[in-house]
Amino acid sequence: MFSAFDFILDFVKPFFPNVAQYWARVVKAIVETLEMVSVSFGFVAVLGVALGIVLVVISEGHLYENKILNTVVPRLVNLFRSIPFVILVAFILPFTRFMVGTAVGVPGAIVPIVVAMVPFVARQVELALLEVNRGVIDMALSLGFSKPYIVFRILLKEARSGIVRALTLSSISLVGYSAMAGVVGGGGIGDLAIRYGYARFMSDITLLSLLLLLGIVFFLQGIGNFVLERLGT
Amino acid sequence: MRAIEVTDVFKTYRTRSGSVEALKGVSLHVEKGDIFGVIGHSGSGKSTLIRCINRLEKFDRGSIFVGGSDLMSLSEKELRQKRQKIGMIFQQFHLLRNDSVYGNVLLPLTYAGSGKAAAAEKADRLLTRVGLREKRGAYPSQLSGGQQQRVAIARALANDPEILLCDEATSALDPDTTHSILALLKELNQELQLTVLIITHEMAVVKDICSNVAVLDGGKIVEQGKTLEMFTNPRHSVTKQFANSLFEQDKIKEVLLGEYVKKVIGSGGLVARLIFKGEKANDALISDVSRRFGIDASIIFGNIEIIQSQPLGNLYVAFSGPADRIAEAVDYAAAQGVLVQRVAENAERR
Repeated sequence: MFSAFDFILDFVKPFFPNVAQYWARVVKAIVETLEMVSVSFGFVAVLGVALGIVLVVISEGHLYENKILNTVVPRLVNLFRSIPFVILVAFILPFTRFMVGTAVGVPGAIVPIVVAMVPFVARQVELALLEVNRGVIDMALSLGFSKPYIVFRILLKEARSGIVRALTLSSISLVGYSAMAGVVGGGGIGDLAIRYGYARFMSDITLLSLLLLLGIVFFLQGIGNFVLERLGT
Repeated sequence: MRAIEVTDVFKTYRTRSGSVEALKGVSLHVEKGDIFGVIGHSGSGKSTLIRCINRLEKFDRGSIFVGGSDLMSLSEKELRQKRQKIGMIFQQFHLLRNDSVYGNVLLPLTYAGSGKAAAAEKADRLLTRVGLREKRGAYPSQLSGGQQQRVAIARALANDPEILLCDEATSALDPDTTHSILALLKELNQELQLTVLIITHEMAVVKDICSNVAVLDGGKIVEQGKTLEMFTNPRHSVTKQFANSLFEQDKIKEVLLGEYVKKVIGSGGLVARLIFKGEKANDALISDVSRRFGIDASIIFGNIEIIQSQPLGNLYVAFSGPADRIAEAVDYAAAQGVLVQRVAENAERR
């Protein structure tokens, strides 16, 4: 695994002396960040889209209109969205332990990232779904389609480019959250930048951390754009 | 059996800011194979009415029978099956943007579980019928409004419905396209014995294809009957408005204020509106009257509308000559089956 990064090492040695010295630590941080981002993205995408659908269909006059749920669910979503991430990490510690058996390391970071991101994604997905003309739902009902079929075959498909945009945006926010989660024990590039770059005045490590995070962000945006182009929007 | 039977339907929308009575006891029935129009101004409740007929909207009281079954007694599943037999097209077409023309038409067929080959064959046939076979691969955004509505019609017909509901289906289209869509509906009505219910605010639509019409105003049906008769002799003020818009009646006001009319009336003449129906419109009544009674009859304004392929003539005629002859002439015209309305005459004559 480490050898794969060795050719980069030769290149950076003269400009980034501390990076060369702590190379093993740097590579570990990159792997940790990629793990955090990819695993949480999987959960966030599935749960966020699901919650987004729920938010839309329970609203007034929609397919599964429900007054009680429509009072409770949006408020819960707003509540979780308004808690600052670092505080959320500390607050849900018992829940994190219950879910993954530990509150530190990559698994310990993934739980709070997912909890923080799902409401965010859900709101974005909700907006994308609301873009679909209400008349399209009337049309689908008039053809005698069942409600689940309308949600999954019509609503999701019509809103797909909006959903892809929402997921791209969320994946980028997620990189930011993963950097913060590092500080509270998740490891990763954010942790590296604070503990080495900041605390030990190794500014080359800070700079490298920045470049790495930027690289990941550009990569994710690129994937998003590619998918949108393939969808033809 | 009647295709649609609406009896005393009430519907009130309740919102936080108060309630709106959209339908206040609407009753109408549509015979099988008929093209029935419901005309009304915006806010008259006509959209609510058509949405009640496939229960996109629930109503509070009354009953609606479609094809013999009571809509309110159907279970969710039965309602879905019923809706497959009630096609609907909309003002904004509502095609799926992310599906091709073919995909849009295929959708109800795959949902209904037709085999792949059968569904493809039928989608093709429907697209050919609406004249868009060569556009099957196009996406809705690449089509004109009229073409989009044709795709929507093909999609609505996929489940072989007995009834087609048209909710302002031509209101977003220009007059020529409106005409071609209406012609298509008429053809489908005759080929498939399809019952068509049209909701509109445009007289042109009713005039073109509806054999029966109901006028909706303030959530009530104020007048209904055969289209030609309704607009020959409208009774309710809203019906009169629609009839007047058909005959461009506002223009006559200027003509009546003109010098010529003043002169005719000043010399004891009379301006009358003559309404001819059916074959009467083709008779040479004006010259006949003129010769027979030795008076002058000049047409100052007029038009002939074709309603349901029957001509309906609307003429404003200024008669001048001896008063008694004019009176005889008018009686004679009325006796010939022409509807006569006195529009302007000398006050002393009364």
